[in-house]
Amino acid sequence: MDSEKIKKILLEKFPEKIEEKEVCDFSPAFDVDKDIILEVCRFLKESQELSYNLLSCMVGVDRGDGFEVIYCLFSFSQKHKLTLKVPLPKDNPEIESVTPIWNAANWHEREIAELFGIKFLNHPDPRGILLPEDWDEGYPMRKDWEGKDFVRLPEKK
Amino acid sequence: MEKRSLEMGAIKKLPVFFEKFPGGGILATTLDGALNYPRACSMWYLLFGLACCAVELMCTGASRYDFDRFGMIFRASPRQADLMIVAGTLTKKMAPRVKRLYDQMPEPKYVIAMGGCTISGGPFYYDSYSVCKGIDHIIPVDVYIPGCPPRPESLLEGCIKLQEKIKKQKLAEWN
Repeated sequence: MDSEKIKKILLEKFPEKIEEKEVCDFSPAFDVDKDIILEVCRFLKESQELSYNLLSCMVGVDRGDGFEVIYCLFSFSQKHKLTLKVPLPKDNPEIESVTPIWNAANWHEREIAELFGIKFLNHPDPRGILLPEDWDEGYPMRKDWEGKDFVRLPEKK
Repeated sequence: MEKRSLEMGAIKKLPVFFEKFPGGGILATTLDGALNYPRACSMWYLLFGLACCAVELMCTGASRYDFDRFGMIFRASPRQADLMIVAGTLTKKMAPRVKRLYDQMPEPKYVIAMGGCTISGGPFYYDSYSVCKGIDHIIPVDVYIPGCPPRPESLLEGCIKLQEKIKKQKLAEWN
């Protein structure tokens, strides 16, 4: 299905909650309000004509003034892609977990939660995943993070 | 024939007193020499590939560079190993495991730090939250081999340096 058609379906189904964002030609991208992310994802997966049955990638971003969670979706039956971007506030970033919809999100969300400190609500297994078990230095992928023996690359002159 | 056998191999390299008589001979040497020589010439190393340096380590162990000619054979268990060649990036999560394996090795034990990452963190020194900045924060090191990764020749050179070090050990200085 082409990007225009996907856009039409989504904007009709969720008016004013979804905003189009041009990223690249082969994958349409949308900004989604964080309150309806679960609803949107369920629709994307269960709708017959969209049927996004693969969560191929999940990304956390620190934008400086806030965070962002990005979902990259793919449909095996329709052979089309989709990118969802969910902006989150700088303090107390929280978002609903999509693990009940795509099981692949489980470890991705644990990783993002551990490295960025974004809280995934109703996650079935909210433990850490990559950092050492006794880690107590905060969230290392945040831009303003400073660790005990962390050395920042000096500016080039 | 007998003269030639005297000049060959271990006897030539050890401080020895050798006296022949018909049907045999007497050989006297120092205890240091008798202990250090076999130790230096059969260093069994613990398989410890952590990252890309491990590929060079494997290459050194394979037929072209042939570690076996120094009596070096890999061991998969720390209980049977004399030498730990730490090859690759040491992360903070791996560090306690390295310490534990080192503690499990029987004395006398030696450590070679292979590659920039193991020595100092290498290219991950800056801007990294996960990489340990040098293995000597965790365990003592005998020989450092710089390089990214070091070529097999460098690793062999490092092993020869370690052999020289072992041969100079004094029993009285051990604690």
